[in-house]
Parts: sequence; structure tokens; C-alpha cells
Amino acid sequence: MSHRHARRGSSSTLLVVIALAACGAPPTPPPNPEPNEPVVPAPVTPQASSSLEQQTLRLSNGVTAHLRVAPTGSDTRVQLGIFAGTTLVAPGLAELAAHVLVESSDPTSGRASLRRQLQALGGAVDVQVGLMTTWLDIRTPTNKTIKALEALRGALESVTQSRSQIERMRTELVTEFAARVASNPIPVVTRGLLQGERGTGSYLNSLLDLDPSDVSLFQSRLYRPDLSLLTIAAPQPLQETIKAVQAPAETAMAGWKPPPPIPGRPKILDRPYSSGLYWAETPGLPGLVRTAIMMRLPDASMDGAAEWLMMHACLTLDGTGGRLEQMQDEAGLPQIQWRTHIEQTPDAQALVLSAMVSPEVAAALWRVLNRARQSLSEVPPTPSELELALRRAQLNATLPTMSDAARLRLAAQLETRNLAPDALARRLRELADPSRWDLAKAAAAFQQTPAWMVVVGAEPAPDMPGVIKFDALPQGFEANISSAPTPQVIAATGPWLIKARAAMGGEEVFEKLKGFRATARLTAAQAPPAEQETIWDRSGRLTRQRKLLGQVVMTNLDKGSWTETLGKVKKSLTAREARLLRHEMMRHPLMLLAAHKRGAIQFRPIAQRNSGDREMMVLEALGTEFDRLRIHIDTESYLIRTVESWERLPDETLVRVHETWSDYRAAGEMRAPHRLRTMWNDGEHQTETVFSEWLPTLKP
Amino acid sequence: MLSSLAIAAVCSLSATGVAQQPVVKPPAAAPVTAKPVTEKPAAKTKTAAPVAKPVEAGPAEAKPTEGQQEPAPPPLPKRTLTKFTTGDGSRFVLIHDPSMQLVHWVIASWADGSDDPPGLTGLTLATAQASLNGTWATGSLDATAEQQALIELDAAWQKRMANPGKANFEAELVRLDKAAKKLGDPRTFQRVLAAAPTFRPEVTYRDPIAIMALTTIEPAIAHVAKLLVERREDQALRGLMRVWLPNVLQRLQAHATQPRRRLHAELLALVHPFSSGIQRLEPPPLLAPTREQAMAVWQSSQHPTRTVHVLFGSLNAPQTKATLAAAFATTSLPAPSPRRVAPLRPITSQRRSVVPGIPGTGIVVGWVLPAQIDPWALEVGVRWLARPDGSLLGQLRRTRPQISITCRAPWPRTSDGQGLLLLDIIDPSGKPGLGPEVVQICQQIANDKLRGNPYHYSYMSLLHDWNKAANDSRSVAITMAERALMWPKTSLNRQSPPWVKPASIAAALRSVFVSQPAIVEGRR
Repeated sequence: MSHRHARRGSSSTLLVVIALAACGAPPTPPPNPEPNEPVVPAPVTPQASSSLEQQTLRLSNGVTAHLRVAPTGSDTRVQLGIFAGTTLVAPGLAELAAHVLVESSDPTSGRASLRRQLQALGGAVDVQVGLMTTWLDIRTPTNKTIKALEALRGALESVTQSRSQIERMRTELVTEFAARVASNPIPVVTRGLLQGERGTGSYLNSLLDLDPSDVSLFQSRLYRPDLSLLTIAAPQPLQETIKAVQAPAETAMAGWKPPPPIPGRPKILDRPYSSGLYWAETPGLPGLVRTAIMMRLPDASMDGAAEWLMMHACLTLDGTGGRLEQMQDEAGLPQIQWRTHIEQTPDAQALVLSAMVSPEVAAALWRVLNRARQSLSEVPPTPSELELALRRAQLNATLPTMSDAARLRLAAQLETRNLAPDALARRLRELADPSRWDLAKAAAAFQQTPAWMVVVGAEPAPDMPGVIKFDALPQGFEANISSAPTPQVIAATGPWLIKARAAMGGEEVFEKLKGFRATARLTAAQAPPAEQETIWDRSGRLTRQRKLLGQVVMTNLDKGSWTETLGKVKKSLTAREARLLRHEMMRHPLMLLAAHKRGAIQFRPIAQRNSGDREMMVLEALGTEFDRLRIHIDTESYLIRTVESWERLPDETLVRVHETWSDYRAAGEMRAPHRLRTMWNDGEHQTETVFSEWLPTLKP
Repeated sequence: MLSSLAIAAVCSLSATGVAQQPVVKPPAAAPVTAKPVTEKPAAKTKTAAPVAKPVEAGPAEAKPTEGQQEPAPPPLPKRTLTKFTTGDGSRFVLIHDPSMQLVHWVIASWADGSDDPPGLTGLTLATAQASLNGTWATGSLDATAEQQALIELDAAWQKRMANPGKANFEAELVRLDKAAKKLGDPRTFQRVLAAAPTFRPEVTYRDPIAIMALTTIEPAIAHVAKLLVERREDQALRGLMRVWLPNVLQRLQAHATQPRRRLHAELLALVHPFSSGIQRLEPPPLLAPTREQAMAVWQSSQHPTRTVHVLFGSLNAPQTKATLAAAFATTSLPAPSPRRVAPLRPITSQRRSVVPGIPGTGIVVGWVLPAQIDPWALEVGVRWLARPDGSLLGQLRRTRPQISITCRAPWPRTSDGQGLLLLDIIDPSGKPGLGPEVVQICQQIANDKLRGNPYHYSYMSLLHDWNKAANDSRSVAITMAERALMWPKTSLNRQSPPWVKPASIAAALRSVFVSQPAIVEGRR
């Protein structure tokens, strides 16, 4: 199955209309257990829609609230949905941001994390992240509803900005994720696919690569009242719940008013579902692999859901029955005991069939699955197949509501979109009459619905076409998550740096490199261009002359003297300003490689990352000189393409500096980049430096 | 794209949320039906509660207009609970939840070894797991021929187990297994269940209870009932050895990797030498059950009088009750002999034992639980004992900072709380005198006067654990079925743990610690 299915998780935004058609002669249907005892399609119990039992309102701060009365005897459920899912950002960022929100505490004020506060109330919180949305699902005893809402608001207003706290939380998240992959990778991989990921290894790489500032930016821009949906189901009169969300303004959700968002927009990554056979090679039992077939199921809010469910039920019931089993038997595959479960994110769900089989059977199963799906178009289902499918589809239609949280989410979605809760059940009943739908069209549309197969274990056969290989865990993963890297981990970076030096001049010349002289032209948007001459020595001596609008600014750093001169005006620089300037010079790729060569700086591996058409090895500097300095080495040319770091400005503001180096050319005995694009934070301010000359200063 | 997606979603929200005037409908009247044994939820409807009025925008509009007559608040939607016993003796608990769309059906039965023949502990669970492989009516291509083939296969297994490593017996076994497989298809029954329709029918083990669980919809209840009766009455126990052997190997592995099981077994032997729990903790012998033994165990453990069914979800209780009464009217299974559960009496003098070869020093201590103990008071008390803010762990940590405690009760789990309160204490320091110190602190706890509510955090942790798991309605149904089997007299009206008075918890602990304990010490 090579088609890329561009369906996004949120049915509310991207809907695929599945049309239906009727066709001809069928294969033998699966046995009907009770042919003379048809189950009369019955409506799914409708949710009460009276305004006395549920209501949707807009709070004064812009939060949309969907409030319901829950049956007596149930606990209160508070769910905050934010339109901030995985598709909007780098893999892992939405999860990390939600994790930080739930786990942030403030030891100075004594505020415990949201999780702990709820725990002390006897409640619990769960984080669910989908393609489009992030949800905090809270359950609490009903008499603690107001306190739980206060805790939620408190958490939204006091998310930690501490880099060390966020980094610690990231480590927790990474460790927990890796442990789940190690113990049972199938549910983790299948869930990742539903979130638009391409495998657990690349996901972890990305998570490790995230910077705490990414979290703060993400939360500032997307955790906002006007992008939030608050749903509450409580076994109490609706009016009490309405009051609880509105007053008092100091603690109720209606009073949540975050500061204005940081300017800019998050970069939206295109992450469509891509059906396929995903294969991870890991050590395991000889001759056996873990495998799973995953097929997405629609929910009641999606157009064409009824027809989709019918086709799915013709394909398979619960791993047994249907075309899939029939074709498995025809292909001579052994009987497989499938374990089934529903994998669910807030925006999508899928039926997962998992089993242990041989690698050969796994490969054959993928072919059989595709043939069985196609057969629905080539040989349309028979009336008896359809009768069985109709019965099954009624159950499958309700599977997305297995959990209380998912049920409330769906109810809120249907209500806010003005969709009848029983619309899907009604449509399914209509499908009992073949004249009411186009079977052929439905079968054709079904071919476009996502279906994946995951295999974890032995290596796939070399001649297997279309396998999408992924790493269950990134290479050298254990080393990466260690907060104190071992000598072996540090040594692992050696080959990369040696090759980088070889690509830029060789070990001998780097041994002699002590500084550089450069002439360059600087340009920036909405600023006049500047000409600049620089002489830098690694001892810390800098002479820089910058010509701007006919004026010359001279900067000198020399041991204890740091000055800047404009005409006759001379000004001393602060230690912080001097350090900034020195860092700018030290971050030059060749200077970093030279520092490593003489042992002044060490690195540890972070990730091997695909970036567009290039693969990069990302290394992070150890020690206290730099704050999270990372270099990206091109794994083909071994040139350093990017250097990123955090710098503290004279006014203590922390900025992220992202430098992209290109146009590597001969520069004396070395090869040096002649173009530099510098971005501050996430691109709100950019400059470009083009070097007309760059020459190394070498020791004799 | 972000803006377009978010705006689309938000616009739809604002359009429906702010401007729409909700339509007021009268709540549907509940069907009036006779309920012979119906319990109603304890939650009270607040008749004097403020009026629910549609809110158009902001808090100002939420208030009723001055002088307007506030209409009576609508009754809250209710969960209803119906308990009954059908003609064949099956106990049913129906929990109707109007907010759900599915029905979870759980059958709980004991797999505590009381039905198992000597040396074949675990056979009850294995038969329950094999039961999904079908019946003679569903899954057999030729029932008579398959029965004969399975009998021959059974004999071959006995020979093979009695003569390990003999190639001719091995070959015969393989031949007969292939022959039997040709006559029956274990997938058929699962296919029929799937088509009923049901989702994920499975048998799981919640020590020591076998749980059969599936998810379905209300219109299919009659059909599923028929299939479950067929499973019980016409069981083929196809593929039993494919379940039995891995289970035995798993228990052997558990025994090898969990050396403290030896301490637990010794404790039971000290207090309750005839407990079937001892065999569950010891390494199982490599034996193969005969079909006759397996069938006897199946019929005894699954006899309707021994099982509890819980149906939780969207169902019309009176109608469902009638359907189930018709389906579960009679049984042809032989009446089972009474459950082999020997009475447990509080011990009057301390019993002690030492087990060598246990890595990690420590002790296990057990007190016999008194009859009629409040299960919730016991549950909170057990948590309190193992918490750092509790008196026991708190005091022990003053002199043994690395100490850790696991506390369980009733242990082993059995009906009506007949069992022990178990303290499993690991002390890496290895300091002597741990046993007397523990007993002394526990006696002190029994004698202490209650001040305030020391159990608050323990109760909150119980609520927290409940709320963490209760999102999944299927696991709630399983928990209800377990409760109904373990505590037949307890009320199931309330699902989440009820509030327990501190005095009740203190009294429960006092009633336990007033007796003498049994102490087993582990030594390297």
C-alpha cells in the first residue's frame, strides 16, 4: 500500500467523504452464526440534549465551555482541550509542553504540581495528545470539583520557565517512553503512527533535541483561552457547574487571562498519515517478530463514518472473520491468535490486531491485508457479508466511546458542531437498504483510509518491497539520556569531530589554528548594511571595526580591557557584553573544532537527525563555558552546518542563537564557511554575514 | 494553516456556544417496571438546588431574572443497579448508566485452587482460558470424531509426560495433535462471538479470580447470552494443553524470579496449612491433567451458582433481566461439591519460622482477619500501614531508614475477607530484632487512642487510584464483578470508594492486631 493518505486526525477540520457503490459477485462470506436470527439494528442510546442536562457557553475570557450533568454515582470529569496537537510542531513538543504543565511546581511559593494537587484531592489527571489537540483529563470526587478547577487554573498560570526543571521533565518523559518501548513496543509505535510520527526512534531523537524555550513559546502561543474547550460532566445540577467555572474571577476558569502571546507563529509541519509496512529491527526471540495490523476507525463526528465502518466490518470483525481471515486461509498462512485493542488519541482511533508470528508470515500478512482491502472494490460484499457487517458496525461505531474521557470529548464535539448524537446510528440503519448507498464508491473510498502494519524483531527480507524501516530506539540512546555522560559516550563523538576536521583542513592545521581575520558584509531586514573587519585570537583578544552609515565603531577586547569607540566617544563594555562578543567568535565552526582538538571543549552525542534532504549528527558541548551549544555535522560532507546556543544578553534576557553556516571554500590552508545566517529566538530577528575574506591565523 | 484549523474549530465552537439558544426538552420519563431486588444509588438529589437556566453569554445572563419563578430542577440522570439470580443459580448485577453506549459483560469465577485436583493447581484458570476455543456445537467439524480424537490425544499426553524424552511418544503426540486439529477449529467460536457482535472477548486472571470479559451492545445481549450458556454447557476444552503448559512454565519462572514467594508460602503454611494458596505460591510439578479432570474442574468452577455476571452500560434493566432469566434458566452441569475453603481462626500464640536462601533480608508477618470486617476500612488501614506518614513505617524508619513495607489484606484474596493481613517488610540493613519491633508497634497502634484523622491521605490515595483507573468503563465493570464475587454482601450502589470514618479504620486495625501474628524470617 503505497498511497499516502493525507487525512488529519481532527475530523472537525479535515473530513473525507466516503461515498458508496454496489457491485457484483462475492467470495464466500464468513460464517453467519445465526442466519435466521438477524439482530435488528437499534439506535445507540442517545445522549440527553436538553439544556437542563447540558449547555455550551462562551466564558468571558474566550474559553468555550461544554457542561453536562453526569449520572448520579459517577465522579466529576473536567477536561481541558487545547487546539495544540502534534501536527503543529516538532515531534514530542506537544507532549512535553503538556507534561510540563501538569508537573510544574514552584518550590518558592510552595505550589505543588497539578498532578500532586489533584492527587491530594483524591483525583487524577491524564494527558492525551492528538494530531490537533491536547487534552488534560481530570477525574475528581464531585465535592472537590471547585478545588480541581482552581488547581487547573493555577497550573495554567504558573507553568515553570526554569530551564533545569523543564530539562528534568524532558528526561522523565524520555525515560518513561523508552521503558515502554523496551517492554512492549507495539502499542507505543501504533500510538505514534496515529499521532503522525514515523517511528519511535525519530520521535525520541526529536524529543531529546527540544529546547526548554520551545516549550515556553509553544505554551505562550497556543495555551490560550480562545483556543480552549473546557468540558465538565458532574453529577450535580447544571447551574452549580456553571457557577463553578464563572466565579470568583480570581480562581475560576473564566478569569484565566494569560499575558499576550510571544510574537510569531509556530512552524506547522506537514505530517499526514502514511500507510505502510513499518519495520524495526530489534533483538528478540529467534524466528519470531511482534506484529500488528492497525486500521483507523472513524468516529460519529466524521462524514462517511457509517460506510467506512461497513467496509471495515466486511474486511475483518475482531481479527477473525471477514475477507482478511478468508484470504489468510487462502494464502496458506497459519492460524493466528490476534489480540485486539483500540488505540486512541483525542483526534483519532484505530483497531489494532497484534500477534507474534514468524518474519515470513508477517511479510505475507501485509500482502494479504492489501489484497483483502482491494478485494472490496474488485468483488463487492455479498448481502450476507453486508448483513453481518451491519451488525458489527453498530458495535464498532460505539468503540470510540469506550472510555469516559473519550465519550465526553465526542459528546462535546458533536454538540459544538451541531451534530445529532444518534446521526451515525441512524445512517447505519439506512445502510440496511442497499438502495440508500453506493457500495462501489464506499469500497473505493475505503481504499484511501489509513492502514498500517508494524513489525518489531528480526530483519526484513532484503527483497521485500516498500518496507519503511525505523529504529525502535535511537542509536546510542542509553548514552544520550544520561545526565552525566560516561567517557565512552564522550569518546563516541571523536570520529565525527575528526572527520569534520579532516573535511576542513586536517588535524595538523587545526593543531596550529589560534584565530582568524575576516572581512564581511552584514545585512539585516529594516537595517542599513554594515562592513566589518575582525581579528580574533583564541586567547580572548578581539579587534573589530564596523562601518555603518559612514560611521566607524571600534571594538577591542584585551584581557581586562573591553571598550567600544565611536568617533571620539569611548565606552567600557560590561563583562557580560564582552563575553557575548567572545562567544560569537568562539562559536565559529573552525574555532570549535580547534578547541576540541586541544581538549578545551568536549561533546556528547544528542541525535542523528534527518533535516530535509540532509542527515545531521547533533553533538552538544559539555562544560560551563556555553549554555547548550550544539553543532550539527553533515553526515555526508562532515561539514558543520549549524551551531546553536543560548546566550544571556546584558539585560539578562536569554536568547537562542541559531547560526547556519554555508558556502564552504578554501581559506588559506583550511576550508571555511563564507556565509552565515544568524537567527535569534525563532527567527524574529535575522542577520546575514557574507565573508569576502576569511583567513586562519596559525601558530608558526 | 494553524490559524485556519484552529479558527475553523473555534468558530464552530463560538457559533454554537455563544449564539445558540439551547432547546429545553423535558427529561424522558423512566420506564416504570417491577424490580424484585433493585438497589437504588445512595446519591441524593438536591431538591433545593439552584435552577439550571440556559446561559447565553457571560455570568450576568446566567442569573434568573428578578421576580421570575424558578422552575423545579430536573432530576439528575441516574445509574440504576439491579441484582437478581436466574433459574440456573447465576447471580447477575445489572448497572445501567445512561451516559454509556456500550455494554461490558464480565463473568467472575474463583480460580483460587479450591477446585483444582492435587498437583494441578491452576487448572481452573487454564480451562477458563481454553473455553474460548469453542464448544462441540460451534467449532467442531465432526463432534463425535473430534471427541474421540481428543480422548486419544489425552492418553498420548499422559504417556508423554510419564516418559519424558522418548521420541516415539513424542511422535505419536504430534500425529494425534494434528489429527485432532483437523476436526476442530478454535477460531470458529471467536468468530461467532465477534459477529454477535462482541469486542475483545478474553479471559484474564486477577489473582485468584478468573475474569471473562467482553464488550457488546444492548440489542445483542440475547444472542451473547445464548453463546455464553453454550460455552458453559457444551464446552469442548479444545487446545487445553496449549494453555496449560505455558501457564505452568510461567509459574515456574515466577517462582524462580520471586524468591519471596517462599516466605509467603511458609506464612500460609504456618497459619492455614490446608490453604490452596500454598500450592499457587509453590513451584508446580510438571504434570498433565486428563480431560476428565479438566472437565470436572470446568463444570465445578463455572457452575452457575459459583459465578457472578456484571453487565455495565447502556441497557434497559427490566428488559435485560427478562432476557437473561430466559437464557440462564437451567443448567445440566452437575451440582458442585462445596468450595474447599477451610475456616481460618485467629491464632492465640505467636508462630515463627525461618526460611534460608532468601536474598534481601526481612520478614513477612501475618495476622488472621476477624470475621465481618468492613472491606473499605480494611483497605484504607492497609494503605496507612505502608505509608511513610503512617505510624508503622514512620516509626520503623527512625532506626531503619531504608526499610520498605508492602501490606495486603485480605491475603490471599478470598470470599468475605477470610484471609490474613500480610506485612512484607524488606530491611536492607539486616539489623536484628525486626519481628518483635514490628509486633510491638502494631500492638501500640491497636492500643493508641484515635486523634484527628490520621488516615486522610490514605483515603485520598485510595480515591486517587480509583479515579486513575475508572476512566475505562470496562475495567470498572471488572472491578465490580470482582467485588461482587469477593464480598457478596457488600453494596455495589456506589462505584468509587465510600468515605470511611476514622474510628471504623482504627477499630478494624485494632480487631486485627489484637490477635497473635505468625512471623516468617528470610535469611540469606
